[in-house]
Amino acid sequence: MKRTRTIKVEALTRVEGEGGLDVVLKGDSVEDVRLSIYEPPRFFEGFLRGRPLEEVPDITARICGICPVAYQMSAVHALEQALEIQITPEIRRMRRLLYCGEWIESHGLHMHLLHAPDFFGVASGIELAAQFPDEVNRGLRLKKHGNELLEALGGRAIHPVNVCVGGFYRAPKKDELQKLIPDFEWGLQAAVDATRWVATFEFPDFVCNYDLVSLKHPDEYPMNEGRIASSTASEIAVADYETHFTEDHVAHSTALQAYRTSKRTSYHVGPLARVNLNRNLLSPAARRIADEIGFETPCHNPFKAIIARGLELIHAYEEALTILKEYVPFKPSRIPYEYSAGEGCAATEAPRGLIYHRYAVDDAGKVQLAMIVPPTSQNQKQIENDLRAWLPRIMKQNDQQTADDCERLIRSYDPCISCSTHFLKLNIIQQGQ
Amino acid sequence: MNVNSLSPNIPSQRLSIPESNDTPENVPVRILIVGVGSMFGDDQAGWLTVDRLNELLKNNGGVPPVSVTIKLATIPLDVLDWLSGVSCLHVIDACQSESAAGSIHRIEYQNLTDILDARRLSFGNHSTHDFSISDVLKLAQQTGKLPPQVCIWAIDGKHFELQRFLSPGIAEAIESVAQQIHSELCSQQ
Repeated sequence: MKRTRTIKVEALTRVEGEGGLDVVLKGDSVEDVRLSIYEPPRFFEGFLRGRPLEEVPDITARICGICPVAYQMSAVHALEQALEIQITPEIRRMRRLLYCGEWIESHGLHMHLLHAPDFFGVASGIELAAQFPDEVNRGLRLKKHGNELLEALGGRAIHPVNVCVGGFYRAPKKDELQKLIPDFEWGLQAAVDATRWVATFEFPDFVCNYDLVSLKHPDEYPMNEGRIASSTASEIAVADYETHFTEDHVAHSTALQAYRTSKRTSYHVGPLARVNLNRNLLSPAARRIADEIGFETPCHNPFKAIIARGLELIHAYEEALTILKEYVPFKPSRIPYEYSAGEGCAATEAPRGLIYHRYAVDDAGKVQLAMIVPPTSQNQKQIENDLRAWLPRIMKQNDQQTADDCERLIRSYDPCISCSTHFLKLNIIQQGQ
Repeated sequence: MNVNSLSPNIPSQRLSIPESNDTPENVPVRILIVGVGSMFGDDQAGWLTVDRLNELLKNNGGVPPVSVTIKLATIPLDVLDWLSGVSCLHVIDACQSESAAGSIHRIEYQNLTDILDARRLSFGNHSTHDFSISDVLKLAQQTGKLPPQVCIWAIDGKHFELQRFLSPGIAEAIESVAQQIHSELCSQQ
């Protein structure tokens, strides 16, 4: 009789939010893999209803402390579509700058303190600092740069408050942004060094047959807009997202799981997808380093997402520097609008992948419907599929080692569990009527 | 003596975001006192303690003859940037442990890990968004930034919701910690 092993990771570490993993193995076969998200539901889509649309960017920013800009950007673009607001090129440019800040703080932190420890067999960034104090200090400094940019442009280092429907409440003064330039020049070189460092890591020889999905824009590396591209399917308009992708409840998770509607298959969002689909649009320095370290695309090794993050870190610094150096305070800082009933959707690129928002508003400016699909919801099913493929390679180890290796794969996605939690839909079935 | 007080003299229960508190670069810092906190109920304890300490130093009619810098932090990681040249660090933060609200834990850094375990004491922030003050101090040690003398004053809180009011016992603990740090500063004259 084949022995059944159950491996539990009660609480995933170095990921944002509360989640666990259950794996059931029977002999040499993987019987079940469940990424269990048990963080309590957060009700954002529900309590946005009836609220003034002006509150949406600040409320949705509260979904996450590390990617609030992604929520703000997706929200304002969707609401501006609903209200038929056309923003100026200056506002658009400053939104990209804000997004650069978020990518810098998120990628800098994840690469150095959350993911790098996995390649050196240590439990945390604190332990890693004993071996690599300079590298850990660098990661902390990069994170701080990102937060400083968010503070200068967004008004606060975490949960910025300067973003509004139509633009920004206030355009920063020139010196408020220019004083960041010396640090960002240092940061660009540090990002190059960081990417060279992570490229030397020893990566498992493991590839998955991914359906990589990200935004794609004809002229720029995707952040705030574009069409939805895929490594396996044709490009679609963002407006068609809900036709091609579906979210569903699973019993073991308070987070919805997304899949490609036509085949009910998983897909992969995040830096690895973005770099694969948009490598030619990376900044010159990022492209140069990608060539230097031999980062070949297509790359379907999830562990190498840390290199993709490094390339995006370089890109974010280089683009931010360009904008900072050319910055001139702009007017108007926001486009006025009048209320009208309408509906709009938008997708942007959070540090950990594509994020989709849709809102309906009434003619009094109140939210009638809100739908938010964060990246981690979209990656959950893919993570489970990856683990099914990864487990036969690692399951001969003892349970603890197997669990640790599962966690390493999960962390390569930089999952944000807090972002992804939804309330389970309640279906009441009354029998006998 | 140089007291570089950068927080306004606000009476208890402030519920406000700290003022900017950059230290002038030409001021040598020997003793750094950091109140870590937020606007969430008992988590104001760190901020309120350094506010009270400011009052005590000003009412003293003078200040200790050593360079003292007092700062407020909302993001514990910021403390890492303030440690250059510091010989003695006092950190005040709210915590949760098995003790009653208002309990005070004076912890020398070298005993930190043991005491966190023994008293099931936590400074929160179990997330990737930020690091707790205990994690920040461990990072400082690993990266060679930790001052020779580090003392953590942890005040047990009970309610950490967004509210002005403090749980019973917290105000007394704040006064006690401020008085004790003040006495230690004065004893260094």
